[in-house]
Amino acid sequence: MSTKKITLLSSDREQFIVDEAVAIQSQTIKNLIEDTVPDEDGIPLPVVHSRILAKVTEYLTKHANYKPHNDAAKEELKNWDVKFLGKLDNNTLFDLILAANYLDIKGLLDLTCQAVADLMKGMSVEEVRKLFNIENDFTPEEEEAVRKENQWAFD
Amino acid sequence: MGEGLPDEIWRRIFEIGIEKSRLSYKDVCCVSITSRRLNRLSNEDTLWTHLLNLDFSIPIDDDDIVIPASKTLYKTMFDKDRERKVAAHRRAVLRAESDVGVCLRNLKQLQRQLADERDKARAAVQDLANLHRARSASVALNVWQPQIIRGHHQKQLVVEQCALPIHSRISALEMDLRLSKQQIDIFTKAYIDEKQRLDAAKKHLELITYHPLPTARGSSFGPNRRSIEATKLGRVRFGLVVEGDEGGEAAMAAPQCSGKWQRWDKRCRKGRRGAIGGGGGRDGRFYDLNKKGLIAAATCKISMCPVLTYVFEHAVDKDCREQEGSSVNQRQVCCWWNG
Repeated sequence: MSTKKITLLSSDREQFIVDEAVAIQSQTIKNLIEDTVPDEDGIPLPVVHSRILAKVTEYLTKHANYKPHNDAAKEELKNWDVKFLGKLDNNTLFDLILAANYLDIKGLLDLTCQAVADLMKGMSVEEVRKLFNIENDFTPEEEEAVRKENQWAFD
Repeated sequence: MGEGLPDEIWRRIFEIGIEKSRLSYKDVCCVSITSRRLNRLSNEDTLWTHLLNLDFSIPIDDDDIVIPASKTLYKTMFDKDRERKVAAHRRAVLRAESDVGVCLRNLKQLQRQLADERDKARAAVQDLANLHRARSASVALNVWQPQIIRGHHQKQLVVEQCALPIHSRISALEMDLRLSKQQIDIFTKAYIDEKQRLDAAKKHLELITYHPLPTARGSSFGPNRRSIEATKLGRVRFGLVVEGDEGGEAAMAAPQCSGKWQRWDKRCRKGRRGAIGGGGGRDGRFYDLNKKGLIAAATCKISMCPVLTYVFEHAVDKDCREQEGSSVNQRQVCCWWNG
């Protein structure tokens, strides 16, 4: 049962072959396996690029094979997560959030969201805009008003 | 990219961030200034309800309960909390100041005691010297004029009578002197201790009154408050804030002033005709908080400059800090201004 392989197909048609036990940590994939007749190439995941899917499978493989049963193991898994996040650049991180959201992998979503929150911590308005590539769509008057409204937090 | 994240992910980011105490009210407020969408998302009540719960332990029995207008509530609580903190800080400052005062008073007292004790010691030394002289005189009397004195019953009696008291008197005086010396040692030690305590108290006071940006917070000064302030930041040579109670009068005294933040051009100091530039330059700026105008003028007459230079340097001398003692009142400045 556990040796059953699942083939995942990224948006750029790259195949990823993983154990079923690994794949079904994603609720979306689990549903797809149950509900759809698999394509001969594998299960198509049209919104996930191979670059991201590689990361997702890396995460899933680690977490599937590693069921922590004591504190030390939990700690080790945590360290692995930190290392895993450390290797990501910001764009990959955002893509990974989207993928985790789409694939419905709670652990990965929480991990990446937390990483983003960490990034945001202590940043200035301009830095946050730059980080997320956010366009400032306030008019100068509006921005002034919003700044004034939030002034209390900064003095 | 980040902009493309759907709303629910943003919510999740905020939620997780707040839950794990990664994001504070400040970060959330920062995010809400970035764009309309994030403003909407970061002002949501669920989020602020969480923050209220975390920072002010307002209990939420059920995760679904959302306190309406919770950002406003948070702000109110926050302001209250800050007031409390400010009051606590003021109390701490007063306490530290009184510590310093007590130390100073003790020091003064010790100094006085020390002086007294030294006087006493000096007197004892003087007495001792006199007694020694008297004793040697009496010995000399015995040695050099034995016949006469022996013949003279009365005188011999006097000398003999004197001999014993002189010894005991000397030893008593020596005892006094030793005692005095000991007292002086004790007082000196106490003085040094007290001095150390004073230094510690002063350091403590400095620590709790420290602020990294003394001038950057000009806006926090209320109206009708006169102050001189200057920062120790290298770039700022001096700064002067003068607030007039009677702004109108000030305006008459310096009719050209614009009432905006003005910078006193360094050239003024060299005695040339100096322009005062506008804007919030960080060096040598004056500002005029009630906007009724004072000090800052469009041009600065040469004759005024040395006087003003004196004013500023004087202000800086006083610990670069706003001080009651050194605060320049409006009339004074007007006088200076007018030479």
